[in-house]
Amino acid sequence: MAAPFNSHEGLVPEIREETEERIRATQTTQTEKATLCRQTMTATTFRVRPAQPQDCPEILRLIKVSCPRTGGWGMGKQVPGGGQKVVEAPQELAAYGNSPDAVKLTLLDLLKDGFGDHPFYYCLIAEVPDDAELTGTLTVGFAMYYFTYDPWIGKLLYLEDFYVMEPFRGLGIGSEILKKLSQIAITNRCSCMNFLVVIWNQTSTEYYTRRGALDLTTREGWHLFRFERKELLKMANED
Amino acid sequence: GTDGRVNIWKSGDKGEKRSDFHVGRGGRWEGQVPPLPSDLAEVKSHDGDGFLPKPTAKELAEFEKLLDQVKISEGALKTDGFGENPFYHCLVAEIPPESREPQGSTVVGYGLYYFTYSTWTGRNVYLEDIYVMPKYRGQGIGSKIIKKVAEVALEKGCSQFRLAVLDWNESAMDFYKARGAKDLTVAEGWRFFRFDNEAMRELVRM
Repeated sequence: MAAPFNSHEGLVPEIREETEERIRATQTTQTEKATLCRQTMTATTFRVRPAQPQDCPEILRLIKVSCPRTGGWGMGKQVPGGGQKVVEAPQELAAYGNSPDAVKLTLLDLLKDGFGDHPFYYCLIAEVPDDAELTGTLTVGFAMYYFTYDPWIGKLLYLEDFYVMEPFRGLGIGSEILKKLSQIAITNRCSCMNFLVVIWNQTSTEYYTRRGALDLTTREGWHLFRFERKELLKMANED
Repeated sequence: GTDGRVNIWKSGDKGEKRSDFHVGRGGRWEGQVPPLPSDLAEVKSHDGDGFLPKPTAKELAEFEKLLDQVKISEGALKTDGFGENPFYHCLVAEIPPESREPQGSTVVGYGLYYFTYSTWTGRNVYLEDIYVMPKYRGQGIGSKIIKKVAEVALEKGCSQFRLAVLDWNESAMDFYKARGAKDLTVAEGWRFFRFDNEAMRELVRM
């Protein structure tokens, strides 16, 4: 694919060097750094801002860190075993996506799909000053969203993922992210903000219902259905 | 009826200006939504049809309340689907002009979808709305629409094709399950949540 990124062409060679192994290697470092940073933080200043292409390696790191096996507290992908207050779920669910290997997305996917000609997603980044490096910042949370459509009411904002690193919870970062998302939704004339939550994740469910979210599955009976690639191929090829 | 020839093509294709763009949730193809209660009355007499449920009196009453919730204008639908940055894509099912009813439309069904994104697998397709006019059901038009959306999904490198179904719509649930779709709400506990306009304004005030 030739020059897929208009204004970010210069960035691609640099980003290519960030191999998957390197990202995996930095995960532990960043997690330790985050814990240390939190301990030495004198003021709880943080900033929530729109992501730039340069943020993609950190976004990918956070996506992988937010996987349940590593104790993450992600959105609808949360499964029991993450150390959260959850109700017992079916056995089969325990195996589902419990590992960072379930993340098939690569750095190039993120760059191309978020910052190419047609964005498939948008991201907000939460960062704190990194006292260890005077001019540096540490990315400690993110939210991924995009716009969806209801033919009766028009545009909606869809929150795909939302995660704050464990040492940085309870500081209002999540609330600030939700506030910014709501502002974005209202500015873009979206009627509402939709998202998925796994019902066994009591912590997440309470977090959202406390803030005024409604459970449409219970209220209106909506079920989420999914076709995977195998079924798509079958349907596309049948007569 | 038709002679079986149904074209499924993407609204906006063929280079013609689709100024008669018809999208709606019902049989009134002047761009108005939603279906009139008379459409539902027709459905009742068509047992086993694919998509519309067999509504109870309660559902009908609730449905009529929903009429108040249709806020969108034809202008908005046009801009949002055919502007520089489309928020949705639409497939229409069209019968040959010679097969249509007098005063009727050639567009007899549609599928409205958009692209979504998963932090695990990247691009997905989401089918938001699918509809076939009652008189044209049972002819495989719905299946053709779904098939076309599956083709688009594969073409665009999507890993999944998702949609939502109401729990009382058994025939729709059976339709999708028969084609290999998995009910993730039942299997994995996924639930749809929403912050509505009022709730979002509260979040901004916090």
